[in-house]
Amino acid sequence: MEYLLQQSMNALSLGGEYALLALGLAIVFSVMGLVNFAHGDMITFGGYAMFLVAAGMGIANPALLLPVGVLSVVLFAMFLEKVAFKPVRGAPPTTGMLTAFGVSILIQNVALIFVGTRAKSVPTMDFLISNVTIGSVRIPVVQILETAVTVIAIALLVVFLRRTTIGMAMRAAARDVSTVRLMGVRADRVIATAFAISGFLAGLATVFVLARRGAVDPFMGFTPVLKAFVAAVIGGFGSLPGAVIGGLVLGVAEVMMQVVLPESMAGFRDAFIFTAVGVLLLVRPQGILGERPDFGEKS
Amino acid sequence: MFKAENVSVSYGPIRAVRDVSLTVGEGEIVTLLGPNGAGKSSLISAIIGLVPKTGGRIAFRDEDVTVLGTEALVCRGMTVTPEGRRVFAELTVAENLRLGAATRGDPDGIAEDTEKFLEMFPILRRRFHSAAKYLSGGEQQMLAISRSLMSRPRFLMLDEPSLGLAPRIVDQIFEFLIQLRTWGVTMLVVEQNAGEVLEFADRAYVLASGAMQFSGTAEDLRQSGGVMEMYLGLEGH
Repeated sequence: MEYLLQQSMNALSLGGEYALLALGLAIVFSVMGLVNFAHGDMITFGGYAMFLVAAGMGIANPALLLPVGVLSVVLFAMFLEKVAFKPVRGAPPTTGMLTAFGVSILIQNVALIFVGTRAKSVPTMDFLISNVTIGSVRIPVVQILETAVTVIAIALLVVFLRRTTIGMAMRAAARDVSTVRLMGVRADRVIATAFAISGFLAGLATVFVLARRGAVDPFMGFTPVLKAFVAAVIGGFGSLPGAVIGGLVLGVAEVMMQVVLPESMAGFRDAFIFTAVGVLLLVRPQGILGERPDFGEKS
Repeated sequence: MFKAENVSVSYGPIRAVRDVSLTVGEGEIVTLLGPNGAGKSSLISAIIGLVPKTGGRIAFRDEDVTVLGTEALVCRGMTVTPEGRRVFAELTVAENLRLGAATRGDPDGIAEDTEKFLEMFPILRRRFHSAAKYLSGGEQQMLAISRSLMSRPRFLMLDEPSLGLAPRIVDQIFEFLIQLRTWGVTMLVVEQNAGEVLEFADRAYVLASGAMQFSGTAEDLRQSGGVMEMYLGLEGH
């Protein structure tokens, strides 16, 4: 029972992290058709921002450090949109994808050259890696926080998308950008908002990724975002509820594999999971909630 | 109040619209007719800035608006009800109307206008909180026009509002347009079928193969059997 509870918490928090990242990918994809391969490097950026503030300026107070992490990723996402993605907006989708790859390589190399290949520890996260004991169950604080933050972030996002004009415009733009412009809503604003939200969600994830690893390195964003891609594909790429469901499914699947697989086969965890994803996509190529592309008529 | 001069639109080497000029006076209903593929939608899209113009000038209310983008034009009081209605399928009727008023900051006025269209089209009230994709074609067209009007445009361009609708519904839509004129909205109605729209339009243009073939009063067009037959497949009266 305790074991089950611990593992469920494990699955929820991991799934939550994937969901946050997959949502960020899906929001940007839905409004501008861009597959943002630099999403992981936004996490890296946030990690270094926190490292620089902690080590460089000696600020160790988490109440200051955590907002720095989140905010830096939001600003960085908006900055990337302005300088890298806006100029190629009218171009074919492959151009956007290659631009994202370019941005990713650039960020990784800037980190390599100016900070170095060695992982730098961010020492201030102790309270996150402590445990709480509920009855006889010990649960890491980071898992509780991560699950709670994911739930709150998703709830806020739902309210934002349903209640605000710009949120409605974002949902509408996922299908039909030109008609949204006919409403007098600036496409620029919709896209900038999408990046800001994507950055905000990635910023939250940054804090948790960092809490687990305790250190930053130039490639720290790669694995989480690779998993987020898989999550988004499972859920149906571009679908926001799909991204959340895909994230949770992937998190649960990974933890289940860890529990079920004998130790000698633990290294094959991802192989089993990717095989399952492959089978899923054979049955439902559009993912769980994705829609089949329709090649309809003019109207 | 609206004037397009020598507007051209090209898609790569294909010139879809060639040096087309068109004026619409305050309070007028003008119709732009022409067969499928004549360039009508391209012209409208170019006017409202959704596709680039390769030449020509646009003026609206004594202001040169040639270089303005779609959003700026909508803020100045021009808008288009697009071909095929293009309601936001996943959004509710309420949200569609709300987005139509995206340029406005007066919640009371928005609520008042919403009420006005719900009064006008009671079906929209019954479907107020369901997704627009569940509406019939005619209902979607009513929603699309109401959504355009939520921005309180002075000049409304409607791209084939009768397309794919049953005759009874078309009558209802056209009656609404006639009523709209009394609200002080100037209109350019794009149609493939000349028949009914000529009964209430003041003036008419005929576009074919990307070039303007006729311009005159609706009465003139009805009388000129040749133009009607050649471009619109109708017998003149």
